[in-house]
Amino acid sequence: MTTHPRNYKRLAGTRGGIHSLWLADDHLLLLSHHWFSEEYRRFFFRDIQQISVAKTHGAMILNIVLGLFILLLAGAIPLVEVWQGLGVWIALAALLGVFNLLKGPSCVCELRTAVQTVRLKPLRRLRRAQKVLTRLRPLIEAAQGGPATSELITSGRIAPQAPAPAAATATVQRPLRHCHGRAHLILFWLCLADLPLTAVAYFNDQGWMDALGLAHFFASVGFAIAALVQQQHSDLPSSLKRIPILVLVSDGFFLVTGIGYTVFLISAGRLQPGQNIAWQSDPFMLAMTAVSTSFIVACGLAGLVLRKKSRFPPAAPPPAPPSDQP
Amino acid sequence: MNHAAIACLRCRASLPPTAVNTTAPVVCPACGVMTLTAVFPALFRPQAAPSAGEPLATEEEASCFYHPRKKAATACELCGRFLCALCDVDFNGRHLCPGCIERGAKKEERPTLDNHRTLYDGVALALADLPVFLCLFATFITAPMAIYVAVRYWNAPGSLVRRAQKPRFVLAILLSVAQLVVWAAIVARSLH
Repeated sequence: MTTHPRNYKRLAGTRGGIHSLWLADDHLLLLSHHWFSEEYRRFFFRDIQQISVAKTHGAMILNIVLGLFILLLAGAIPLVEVWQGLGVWIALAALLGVFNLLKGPSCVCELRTAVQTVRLKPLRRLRRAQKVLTRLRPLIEAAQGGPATSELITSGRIAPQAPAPAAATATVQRPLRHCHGRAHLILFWLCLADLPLTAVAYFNDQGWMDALGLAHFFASVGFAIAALVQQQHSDLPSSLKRIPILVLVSDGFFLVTGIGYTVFLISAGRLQPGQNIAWQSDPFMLAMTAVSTSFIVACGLAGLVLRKKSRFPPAAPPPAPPSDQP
Repeated sequence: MNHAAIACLRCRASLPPTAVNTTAPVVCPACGVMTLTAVFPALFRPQAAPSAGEPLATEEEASCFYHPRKKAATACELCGRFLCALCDVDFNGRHLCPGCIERGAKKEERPTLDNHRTLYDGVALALADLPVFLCLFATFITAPMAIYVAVRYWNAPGSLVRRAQKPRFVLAILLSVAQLVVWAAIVARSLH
C-alpha cells in the first residue's frame, strides 16, 4: 500500500529530533534522522506480536542530579559577591527539573515481530508510551482479527489461572543479570584516592588543589550513581551493593554539613562572603575532613576486598562419596 | 514457544496473565517495575515452514520462471511470470516475484520499500545559510552549489513524513541568489 506523506501522523518524537514514530494506515514507521538523510523501518500491524513498556529510573536520576546541582550552587551563593550568575544557572536547572517532572517517569519500549525485536527510542516517557499503545492496540487488533486474550489462555503460553494473590505472585523467580562491577571498581579506587588528595591539600593550600578536589567529588558521585544503576538486578553480593549507597550518603552529608557551617560562619561574621574557609586551620572543618576521608577510604578498602571475594569465591568442598546404604 | 516468551522487559521474568494486555501499567511481580505489555494474535500464529517448491511431476505442468524444474504455484501480480513457492514473495498481501520487487526498490516505485531518503532540501538550505554564519567568504562557492542542488533535485523524492520540500528549495535559491547579487555588487564596485 502506498502511503503519501500527508497520511503519516506523528505519534512520538519531535519533528526535528533524531528518532520519531509515525502512524500510517497499515503500519508504524520508525524514523531515524541523520543530518541530511532519513532511515525508515516499517512495522506492519499484521506482523506486530508484542509491545512491551517498562518504567526506568532515568527521569528520577536526572532529577537527583539536578537537585544536587541546585543544592551545590545554592550553597555557593554566600561565598560569592555577585550571585546573579549562579541564580541564572539555578533557575535553568530548576526549569529543566520542572520540565522533566511534568513529562513524567521515563521508560523503555520494545516492539516484537516474528523476526526481530526493536527498541522504540521515541517512546521514552511512560505516559506517552501508554497513550501510543492505547491508540495502536485497536488498529493492530483490527488488522489481526481481534484481541489475543482468548488465544493467550488457550495456547498454554500463559497457563489459565485465577488472579493470584500478591504472596503467590511474589514467588516468581527472576533471573539475575551478571555484573562485572567496573563502575564499582573505579568508585573504590576514587575513594582510596581521597587520602593522598586530602594529604596533599593539607600541606599545599593551592587553588588548583581545590579544583582537583571538586573534580574528585563529582567523579565519586557520578561513579556511585553509575554503580547503583549497574547493580540493579545483578548478581553482585548485597554487601558490595551497599557501598555506593554509603559513599553517596556520606558525600551528601558532608556537603550539606560544610554548606551549613559556611553559612553559620558568614552569619556570625567570622567569614566574609566570597572568602574561602581555610579548613587546614579551622578545627571543625579539619575534624570533619578527617572523619569523611577516613570513612570514604574505609569504604574504598572494604569495597575492593568484597569485590575480590565475590570474583573469586572460596572453593566448594569436594562432593561426599555416594553411600552404599539406600 | 516456551512459557517464558511473554516476559517483563526489565527483568525478563515471565509475566502472569493478569499483567498482560492491561490498559494501565501494572507492577511486575518479580522486579516490582511498572510494566505495560500488549500481546497480539500474531504472537500465537504458527510460523509457516519455508517451502523450497515442488518439483515438476510431468513435463506438461507449468513451471516456475526462475526454476524450470519446479512446479508453478502462483503468478506474479505485476509481470505475470509463473512462480514456485520459493520465488513467491508475499509483499504486503500481494504475490510478487523477486525481480519486480528489486526493480521497484531501485526505481523507488514502491514507497514501502524505501528505507532511506536523502534530504536534498536540507542540503540546499544548509549550503545557502550555514556559510553566512560560519564563513562569509565561502558563500562565493556555496551559493552556486545550493542553487545547483535545488534545481538538480527539485523533483527528487523528499522526506516520507515532512511536507515542505519545495518551499525549502525556493528559500535556498532565493538566499543563494541574494548572496550572489551581493558578490556581484562587490566585484563591480572594486572594478570601477
